[in-house]
Amino acid sequence: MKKISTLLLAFALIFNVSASNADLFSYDLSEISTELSDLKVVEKVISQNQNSTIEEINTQIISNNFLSSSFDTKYKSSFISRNAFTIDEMDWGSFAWGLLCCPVGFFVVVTNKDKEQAQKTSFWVGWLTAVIINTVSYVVGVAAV
Amino acid sequence: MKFLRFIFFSLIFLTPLVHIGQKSYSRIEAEITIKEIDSTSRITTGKMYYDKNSGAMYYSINYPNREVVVYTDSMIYMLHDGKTIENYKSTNGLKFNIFNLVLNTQMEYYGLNSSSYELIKTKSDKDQIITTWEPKFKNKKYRSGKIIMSQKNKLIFGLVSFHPDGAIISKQFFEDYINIEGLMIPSKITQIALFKEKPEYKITTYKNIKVNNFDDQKHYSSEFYFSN
Repeated sequence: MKKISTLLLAFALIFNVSASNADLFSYDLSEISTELSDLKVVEKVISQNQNSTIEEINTQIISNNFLSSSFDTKYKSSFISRNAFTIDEMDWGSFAWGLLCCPVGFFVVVTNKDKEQAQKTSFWVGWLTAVIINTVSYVVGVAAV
Repeated sequence: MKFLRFIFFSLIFLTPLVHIGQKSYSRIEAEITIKEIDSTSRITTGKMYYDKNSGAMYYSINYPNREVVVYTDSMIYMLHDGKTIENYKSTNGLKFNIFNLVLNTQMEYYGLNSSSYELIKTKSDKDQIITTWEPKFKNKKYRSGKIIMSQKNKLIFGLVSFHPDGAIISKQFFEDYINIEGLMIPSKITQIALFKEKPEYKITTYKNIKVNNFDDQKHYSSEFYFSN
């Protein structure tokens, strides 16, 4: 009896493992088939108008009757990060320039082409923090008088 | 003694012949189309030029904007009319870029065998070889989980990345391989990100792939892209 149950367990494990691998390395694009066929239409318009300007291509895409829904042409290319700025990316030096010495920091950070985007965003976060602190202090000061 | 002398001379005179037989590849270019579907649908088209000796990959984008994006090991630059508009720190650099892996003949294991991952388990399943990779070091800030890879006919087919808690983060599939001068290159890569509420899809296709195009010096030089 023990041997039979061990065999059954082994079979169950084998089938479970093969099923999980099949699931792991498979995919189904059926739920995005409409969006995919729309993108194929857009791709065709782009490839047929290689020498046109972006505005001309966008006009052709928007006026295309083969799309199932409207196509938003205003977006960044997929090579550029669309992720929102997070606290992990904060450059505290640039933040301090924005917070404590905004006019000088503007030239040190924002107009400096060697500074990366996260540093420039950190500067503006610092500047915004300074604006909020100053506004709150001013309102509290006026209310106290 | 005679045998040792034979081995010695064979090593000296025959080893260079082995290298002569192997063709080295340093340049690759391709037309790229990326289709992305999440809450919206987007398409990006353009051309990519990469010379591994220069360490820079240039994407000349046709749509949605005419611009150039440059990937180096440490930075990503976005250029418009030769001027840098934005720049970002690159997290992975070019290390796991498909074309870098192809030129360095590291596609078989997707570069994982020379990375901070180590091979834990190998098993065969029908027509696939399944390997499991785990991070060698546990980084508290950037926690990464295991990766399970599937190979068919010695070519990478699927790559599944896991969160340390065991949940699947993303799946990648490498299909429609084409042989370009002996290099096997997937012309279609499907990525499915599963860490958000709804899956996000990214389908990349490559056309007109050329290797070692030394006739074109313009598109491989930084001077052509950076005018400032």
